[in-house]
Amino acid sequence: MATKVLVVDDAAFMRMMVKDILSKNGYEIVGEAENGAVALAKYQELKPDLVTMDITMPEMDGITAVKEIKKADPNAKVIMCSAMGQQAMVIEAIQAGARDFIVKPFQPERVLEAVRKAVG
Amino acid sequence: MDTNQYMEMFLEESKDHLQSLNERLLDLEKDPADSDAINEIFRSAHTLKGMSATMGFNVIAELTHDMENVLDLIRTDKIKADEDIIDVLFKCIDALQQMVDNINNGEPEDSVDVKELVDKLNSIAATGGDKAPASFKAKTTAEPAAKKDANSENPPANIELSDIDIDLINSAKKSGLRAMHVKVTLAETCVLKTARSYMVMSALDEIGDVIKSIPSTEDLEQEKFDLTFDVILLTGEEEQKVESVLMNISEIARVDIELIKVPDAPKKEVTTAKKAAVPAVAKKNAPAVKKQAIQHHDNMKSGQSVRVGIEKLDSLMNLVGELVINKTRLEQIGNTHRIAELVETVEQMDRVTGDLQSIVMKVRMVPVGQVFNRFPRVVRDLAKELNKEVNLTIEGEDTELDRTVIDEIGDPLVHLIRNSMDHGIEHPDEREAKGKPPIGQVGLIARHEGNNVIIMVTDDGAGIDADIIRSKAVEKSVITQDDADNMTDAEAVRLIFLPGFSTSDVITDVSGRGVGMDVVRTTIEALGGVIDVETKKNEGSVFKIKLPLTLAIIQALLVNVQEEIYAIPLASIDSTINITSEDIKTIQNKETIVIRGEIIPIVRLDRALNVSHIEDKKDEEIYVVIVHVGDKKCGIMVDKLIGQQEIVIKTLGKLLSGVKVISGATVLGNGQIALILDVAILMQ
Repeated sequence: MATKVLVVDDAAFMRMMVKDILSKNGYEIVGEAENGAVALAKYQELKPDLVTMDITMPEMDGITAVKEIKKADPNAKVIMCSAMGQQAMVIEAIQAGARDFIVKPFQPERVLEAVRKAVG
Repeated sequence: MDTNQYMEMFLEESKDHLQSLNERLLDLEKDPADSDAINEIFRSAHTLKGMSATMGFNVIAELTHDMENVLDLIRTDKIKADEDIIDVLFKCIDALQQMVDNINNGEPEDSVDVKELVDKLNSIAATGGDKAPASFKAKTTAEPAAKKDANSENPPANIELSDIDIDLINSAKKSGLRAMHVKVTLAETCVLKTARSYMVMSALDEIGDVIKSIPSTEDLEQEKFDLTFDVILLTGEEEQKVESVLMNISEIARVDIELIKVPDAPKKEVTTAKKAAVPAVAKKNAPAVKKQAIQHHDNMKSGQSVRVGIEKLDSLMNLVGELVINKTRLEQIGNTHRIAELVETVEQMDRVTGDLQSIVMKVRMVPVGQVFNRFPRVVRDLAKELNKEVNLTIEGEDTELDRTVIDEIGDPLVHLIRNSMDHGIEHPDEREAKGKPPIGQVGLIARHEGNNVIIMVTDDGAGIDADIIRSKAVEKSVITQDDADNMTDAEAVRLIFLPGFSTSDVITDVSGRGVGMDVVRTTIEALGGVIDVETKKNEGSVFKIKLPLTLAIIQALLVNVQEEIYAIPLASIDSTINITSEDIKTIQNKETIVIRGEIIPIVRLDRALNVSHIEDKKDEEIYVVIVHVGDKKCGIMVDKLIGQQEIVIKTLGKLLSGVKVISGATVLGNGQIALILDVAILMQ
């Protein structure tokens, strides 16, 4: 069984990017969400093994989404997708239970490293 | 990494974000306390930064990063979004737009000079914030400067331990814990070092106690360290375990662990026994992940959408068109050979192609809001430029139109709006003198009307003075004085649509170069639409554009002129009547007929099209198709009416683009070609 991943980002471009990197390396993208609220709903619906979560999003931001997802499933594995200058938010997300973070612009090896380590 | 495959998507999404930036910045300008607006602007700038950095467009990334700094200060109420800042931000958006356009056209992004803007942003950020965040460039260049060979032997340095530390270590040892000196080296590429060190610290906290770190926790939090930091850990775990825990964190280049031996007597120098140092960049040795095709899950359903290139939709539309032609052909075969089964099957097929057609049509439909949404910005800039106060109201932005029409309609609308603001709306004092509110109203309204969409540009300005138009037209020899005297006001006003006409006394940047309105008219007519104007002095003008919903497949009436078949678009047909030659009266040298008290000029199609007469009909019924363009009506005399049919419009191609009376052609069921008449031109 391939590892199931839910990709969350408000930019379809970024989702496409992450999707491509992961699916080319044998991960299965089971869903996408464009904001935290959708991500939470999809998480409960799809039960993915891993979530890649953007931080800055409309409706519900990534940090709140991590907290909510963790509330629903304490074992949830979430990797934050941040940009430079979001250090404090990344730390907050880690405190909220995110496993790891990757920084835009994405390097495919970094993304894969993070995913591999998070899934264990 | 090859980013070309993402280019299209990058461009699409960048355009969306630029649009949203423009809109929300306008909102923010109206209400500087609008926190939703500033948050959304911040998000858009942020997303643009991430996307452009990924694509390697560093100038865009740099500019958006600096914008973000300023936006963050506004967002956190550290500075106020005053007019200057808003102006700078608007200019930034323009620069971004320019760069995205450049990329779109295959030109380099950096042909736009953003230095001035970056400086302005930075000076705003410097005055506003308590500490100005580092600029994007400084940050990115700082990182590679801190290069170190992470794979070299790098044993933990000796650490000065205080007496308290030694006491702690000793008592820990008594309770069976180990004291370790852990040296962590981050990967060179690590960007958010503090966040990474935070992850290391929390991982260590889970398996033991960190009693000391070098540099201090505060320095770690402020990123005051290079790639390495040292900690003293008290833990019950083995070294290997500690190492594997740390190595499981991303972006850790290596971990060196030494057990700390503290002599019984407190001694400040600590000797350390060396432990295996594991080169950690073992990514390449990691088990190769099996390539697997992605399985599409059934549960990927809710609210999914796909972006499709317009050219794919165009070819789909074309194929559906071909299908309709073939269907018509089958229909005809069935009818000619009286094959009931075929006729039945074709009827079924008719329903399916009908549905297919309407779906394809719907897919191609785009809300007109896509065009309208750029106007608030246009109006704002123009109002500033002209020193007028104008309020723009937009209605019916959900009204949908064919994508092709949407793409073409923007420029004519810009022109109309510019005209309304330049010529129509008066200056505030002038308006007040006329007893009008000082703020002028410009409206942009779209709505459905049968098989058409109506777009109106309204203003409550000075209106168009028919007499001025008359005299200008005579002066520019567009018409003669006689013509002018005989014209009604409404007709005179329509002269503005003629080539070479401009009423503005001064040629401004905004409008009035005299090429405007006739270009607008030509564009709209090329889209199969019509434009008309209504105006009242000192009350304003209404420009009304009527556009067909789609350009590809229309209902038409097929008629015969001698042996030739022509198609007249059903949308412009009022009625068909039979007359005899006695009904035709000649008034002012023009042939006309009177229907229900209305005098309607007639056009003999055979003469207009130069179709040679084969037979002459006398005292027979003559078929007349009454058509209309705007308020004007006209009767087209034809030899025979064939019937109503759905036709697929094919362009005549470049070679025949000069032929005015014919707007296109279509292939009929029997393979014959029918030319489609351009009614508006036929009437002139």
